[in-house]
Parts: sequence; structure tokens; C-alpha cells
Amino acid sequence: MKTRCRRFLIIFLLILILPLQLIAASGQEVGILFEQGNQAYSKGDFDSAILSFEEITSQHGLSAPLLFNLANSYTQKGNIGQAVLNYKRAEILAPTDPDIEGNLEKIRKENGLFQKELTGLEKAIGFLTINEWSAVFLITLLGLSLFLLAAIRFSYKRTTHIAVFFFSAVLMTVSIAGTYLRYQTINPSVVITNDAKLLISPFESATSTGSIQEGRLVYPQNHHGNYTLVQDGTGRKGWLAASKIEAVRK
Amino acid sequence: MAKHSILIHTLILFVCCSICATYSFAEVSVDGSISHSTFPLDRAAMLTITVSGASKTAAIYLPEVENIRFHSRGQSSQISMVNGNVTSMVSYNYLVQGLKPGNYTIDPIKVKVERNQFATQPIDFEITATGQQSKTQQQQTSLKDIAFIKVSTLADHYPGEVEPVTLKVYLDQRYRTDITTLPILNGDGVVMEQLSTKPSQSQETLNGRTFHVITWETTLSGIKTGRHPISFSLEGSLLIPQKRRTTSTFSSFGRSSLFNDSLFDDFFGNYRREQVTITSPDLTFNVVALPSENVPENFTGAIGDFNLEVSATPLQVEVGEPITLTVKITGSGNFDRIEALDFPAGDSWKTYSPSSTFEPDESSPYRGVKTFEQAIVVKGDNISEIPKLALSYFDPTQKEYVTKLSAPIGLDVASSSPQVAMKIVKIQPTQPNQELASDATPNYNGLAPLHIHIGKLTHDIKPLFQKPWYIATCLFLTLLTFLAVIVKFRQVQRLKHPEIETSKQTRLQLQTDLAQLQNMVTENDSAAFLAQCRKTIQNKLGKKYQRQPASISSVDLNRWLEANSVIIEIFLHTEQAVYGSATLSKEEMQSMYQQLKDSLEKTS
Repeated sequence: MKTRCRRFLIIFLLILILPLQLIAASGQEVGILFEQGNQAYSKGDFDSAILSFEEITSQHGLSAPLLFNLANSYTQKGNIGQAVLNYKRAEILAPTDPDIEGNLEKIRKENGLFQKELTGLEKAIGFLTINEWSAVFLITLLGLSLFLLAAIRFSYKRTTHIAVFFFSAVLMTVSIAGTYLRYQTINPSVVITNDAKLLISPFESATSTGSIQEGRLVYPQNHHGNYTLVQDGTGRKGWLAASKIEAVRK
Repeated sequence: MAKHSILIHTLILFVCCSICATYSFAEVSVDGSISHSTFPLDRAAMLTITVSGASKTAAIYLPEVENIRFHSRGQSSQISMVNGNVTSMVSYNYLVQGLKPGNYTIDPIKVKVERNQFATQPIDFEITATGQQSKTQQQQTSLKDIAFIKVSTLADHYPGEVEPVTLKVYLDQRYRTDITTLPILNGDGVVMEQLSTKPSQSQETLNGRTFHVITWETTLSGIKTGRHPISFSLEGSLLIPQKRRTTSTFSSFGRSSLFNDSLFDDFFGNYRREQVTITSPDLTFNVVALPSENVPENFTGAIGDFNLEVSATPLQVEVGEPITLTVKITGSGNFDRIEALDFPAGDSWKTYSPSSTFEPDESSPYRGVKTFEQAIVVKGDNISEIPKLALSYFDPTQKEYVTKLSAPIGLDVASSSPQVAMKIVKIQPTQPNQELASDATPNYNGLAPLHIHIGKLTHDIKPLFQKPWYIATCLFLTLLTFLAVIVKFRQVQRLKHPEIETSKQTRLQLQTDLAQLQNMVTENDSAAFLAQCRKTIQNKLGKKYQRQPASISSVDLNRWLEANSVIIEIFLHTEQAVYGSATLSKEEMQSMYQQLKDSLEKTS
């Protein structure tokens, strides 16, 4: 009886420990790959660095530092489209990281990927990141619910109630608008090849209306077969082969 | 004095001769138009034949048209002098009267000026029956006469070629017409440049009527080959005067009223605002394919006439020192198709992506200067010149591809100093390890260094508001807020109306008491049943009359309730039971319970 109990205990512990060991092994593997990528980058072997970083992104997941390093490797290789794409992805995960913002601005400037002048509203919305706008909404909602719970126990003046409701409503409306408008700017696709041309129809033989620079942000509007109807920041519209662009959000 | 007189006479003679000479060399043109393309039988239209550039009176030969009569209404002439060019214009007016409804065509009207003979275009019109012109026809006919769009002549084009076009919107000044939109292009395969919101405005006279003319200068560009039917339209509103109904007593005697005049229609009459669409005639924009032969390799679709200027600074450099190459392309055409010129870099040069700017000419948007600035770096000291650059475009007037080459620019390249050489040699780090990654990573091109910690991995890129925990928290807090609002609302209601709470408590108390009574009936405990009956009555009435339940006696009941009330009867029964130890059967208890329950529930 004791032997049987001992066996059950051992099997139970193995079942408990095995996944933890697998996770730990996976973590070690990710660490090694990441370090290999960084070392290859340091040696100037950007192809190997890209391979290591891409292996992590495809098999283990994404993180802002990983995408940042991958984008740096693509920049050094001269692959501006992939660089912008990965900086933009890193920017979503770490919106306040100055390194991401700085490098992105630098390659935009060096490659003539100028962005349109922001309007007053866009500047105001850009004051906070999308996550900060979302946090403002959540904190306001939390504050409002706590106030209402407190109001059950304690009695407040009518003016206090009106002031709290008014400011909560304003803050929540502004934060929802901020989140929505910021979401519009973080959800584009990036031109990832240097031979992309806008076509008037979604066919290979269609006439081109002009080329579009690698690294430019475009906003998909429609799809047909292997083609996507896009609009760029200057308002130009046209069909692009789906293989020429990649969405920032996977 | 005599000298002065001779001089003045000579000058006058010279001016007269000049005018005569200009007249004699002026080109004669003839045009015919009718004031209304549709009019009823009881009305007439004005046929105007305009002869421009003739110095002498022209002979007009009107054709015979069955059921149509022409009545001459004289002629008017006009002489204008613009920039020294004298133009004469004589208009011959005829009233056109129909004898029968139908569609008619006036054949080309022959006009003889001196020995030359000219002819107008055929003129079509329709005569409708008296008073039978439909409202739509009236509106369409009148609208075509009141407001319309004229477009400058369109020739054949190549795909992407920029064609300047003049759009003129004519609005009859006798009507009040407001335009609410800019003209839009209807049709596929052609794109129009965005129109200015401040068009030029002027006045023009057509067929003896004065029009307010709004003019836009824009460009059209075909994006695919073929014949594309296009038209222009814009939305507007038209104030249409409503004919007044005269109520004068004179009118009933067959005499026209003093106020039955169109003048008073304008003064007293109502106006109706109609939304109208002002359109141009249907046009065809013909886009022909570019020649497929002799297409230069670097042709990017530029069509027009361009010039190329290339400059560089500095021209004395060391190896590795950047040079700014400036390429200026001037001329007219589709500048948007001109891309940065290919720099034949090879192994001797390192090039950076160029930046471009375009400054359109103030007079027209398809003229201007496009400038490309590019940083180039010499890799070796064996370079002596910046190679020539090539610009290829298609010239639509010559109908051939043109390639323009810049002249090579001489360079004085010196061997690099050690510091400069370092800039172009890739740095080979020695011992890479994780700690060195941030400190010793070569800072290529000034990029921020690599991050050394991978951070927390996630499988999707989602902003905060799309994460499940965030959504769940928001839902929970929203629910909590609603619940708190409901609780608070009920709390306030209770404070405002305390009787609601009292009533609720009374109802609950009665339910509890009745449940106990029912138990006692079931247990067949007569004494306890009667005592509970008394207590139930006291509880119920004590709440109602705000008295201590135990202090209520039969005297109180007689005062509060009617004499024959069941409650008094049961209460007396319970008192008797206390003193006389009365017993009840189960059926009696059930009956009494039911009576008491019904009575107490009815007592509000």
C-alpha cells in the first residue's frame, strides 16, 4: 500500500514538474537565441542576427526589445520596409520607449519617409499613447465606481455628485476618443519592398499610377484576390500586391 | 501750326489705315444660335447669326423650313479693341415662329461676306403644343438656358499626361442661381486635379444675354488607354419666381388688372427654391497608348517637356567625405511621375536615399521645379568626376521619347585622413557578450544601441484596450457602477417615502404571523391558534394605528372597525378562550384562519 502511494506521489510530482521544466528550457533557448542575435549584430553579421531574432518571433513570441533589435538589424542591412514594420510593432508594445521613437525618426529622415504635418487635434491626441488613453478610461471608471460605493455608506452634497459625474463623463468621453483616434494611427501596413507600384486595378497587367516608397505607411481599405486597395498618408490610392505590404498588427 | 496740322492728319490716316488693315486681315467666322431649344407654339424664339471679323455687311440666306416663319428683328454691331487687335461683330436677329408642334432643324444658314461664302452649323429645336409643355421639360429647357458648363477643347492624350483644362460655369444674371458644390468629374479612367475654392469670376454676353461666368483652371490626366466618356456637373439651387394669382375684380370683366404685370410678379410674387444639377455636354477624353518602341530603360512615365540641371558641392573632397548632389528638373508636365535619377554608383560610390521637393509655378500647377538632393560619398581617390545622369521622358508634341544627359562634374578627390577613413570601415568588435551588447555595440549611423534584455514575450501585438483582463475589468467596474447607482437610488427613494418601508414591514409581519397560524392549524393546537390569532390582529392593527400591539383591546377594535367586522368577532373569541379555555376543531380553525386572513389582507 505504501509502495503504491509512493508511486502515485512520484507520478503526480512528475506531472507537476515537467511543464515547469519545459518552460524553463524554452526560456533558456530564447535567451540563447537572443544573445546569439545580439552577438551577430555586434560582429556586423546582420543576416545571422535577423535569423536569430526571427526564430524567436516565429516560435516563442514577441517583445518590444526583441522587435527593436530586429528592426535595428534590418536597418543596418538596408531593408527599410522591414525596419519600419518592426519599429512600429515595438512601438505598440512600448509606446514610450525613446530608443524606438528615435531610431524610427532617424531612418524616416534619412530615407525621405516624411510624415504629413499633424493637425492640432492629432497633436493633442498624441500627447498620450494609446495605452495611456486606455488607462485614463479605466482609472476614471474605477474612481467613479468607488465614489458610488462610498456614496451608499456616506452622504455627499448634491453638488459633489454632479461634479464627480460631470468630470467622469468628460474624462471617459475624451479617453475613448483618444483611444479610438490613436488606434487609427497604429493599425497601418508598411510597404516592405522597394519595387512597389500603385495600380489602378487589382491585376498584374493594370496600369501603374506611381511607385510607393519602401517603408511608407499605407492604410488598407479593400481586398481583391492577392491585391489590397490602400491609401497612403498623402491621400494617394491604388492597388498593391498583398506580398508588397505587411500589417503592423499581425 | 500748319506743320502740326499735317502731323495730326498723318497720324489719323495711319490709325485708320492700321484699323482697315487689321480688319482686312481679320479672320471671318460665322455662328448661329437659337435662344430656346424648346418652346411652345404660342411663343417664339430668337435666332441670332453672328458674323465676326467682317468689315462689310454680310448677306444672310435663310433656308426654307416647313411650318416655320422667320421675322427679321434687325441687326446689332460691336467693335472691340484688345491689345491693338480690332474685332468687329455683327449680330443678325430673327424671330422664329412655329405653325405646328414638332422637331425642326434649320439647315446650315449661308452667309456671304464680300466674295466668300460661310455657313453655320445646323440648328435643332422643338416646338411643343400650346400650354402642353410638361413641368420637367420646362425645367430642363429653362435650366439649360439659365445655367450650364462649358469645357475647353480636349485633344488626344497619353496615359499620365497632364492636360490643362478650363471649366466655365455660365449663370444667367436674370435668375438667382447659387452653386453649392465644386464641379465634379463624372467618368472613369480620368482624374482631375483638385479645384480651387477661389475661382476667377467675370461676365460674358451670349445671344444677347449677360451671364455671370465662374472659371476654374485645372488639369485632367488619363490613367488608362481608351475613349472615356466624361462630363462635369455641380449642384446648385435656383430661385424660380411663382406666377401670382390676381384676385382683382377687374379680371372677372375680362380686363387686365393694374397689378397684373410681370413687374409686380417680381415685387410681390413668391419664389420657389429648386435644387438643380448644372451639367456640361457629354465629352470624350481619348487616351492613346505610349509608343512601345525605343522606350528608355529609365523612363518612369514622365510626359511633358523638361530640362535637367545637376550641381554638386563641395567639389574638393577627401575620400569618405559626403557630397550633396542637387538635381533640378524644370519645365511642364506630370512632375509626380518624375522619380530620383539613378546614380551609377558602382563600387566607387556610396549613395544615400534622395529627398525631393516640388515648387509649382504660380501660373499653372503643371509647371514648376522639382529638386532632388542626394548625399553621395566617394569611396576611393581614383574618382575624378561625378558621372552624367540621365532623365528620360516622353515629349507629346514631338511624339517621341527624349533622354537628356547632364554633363559630368569634375571632382578633386584627395586621399582620406585617418579619421575619415574610419567612417567607412566596418568596425569588427572583439569579444561579444551580453554585457558588451549595450556598451560596446558599434553605433552604426547613430542608431540607438541594441537592448540587452528580451523582456516579457507575448504572442500577439495588442494595445491595452484589447487585452482580455482590461475588457473584463471594464465590464466588472461598469456592472459595479450600475449596481451602486441602483442601490443608491433605492436608498434615496426610501428616505423620501418612509411609508413604503413601513408597508413592506407590515406585509412581511403579516405573512410571518399567518404562516405560524397555518402551522398551528396543521398541528391542531387550538389554544396556541387562538393566542396567535389575537397576536396577529394586534400586530397588524398596531402598525396601522401606530400603537403598541400588546396594548390593543376589543374596545379599540370597536372604535376603529365596523360593528359586524370579522376581526372583532375573532378577537372576542380569542379573549373568551383566554378566560374560558375554549377549544376549536381543526375545521373551525381552518375556517377562522381563512376568514382572518381575508379580512386582514383587505385592511390596508
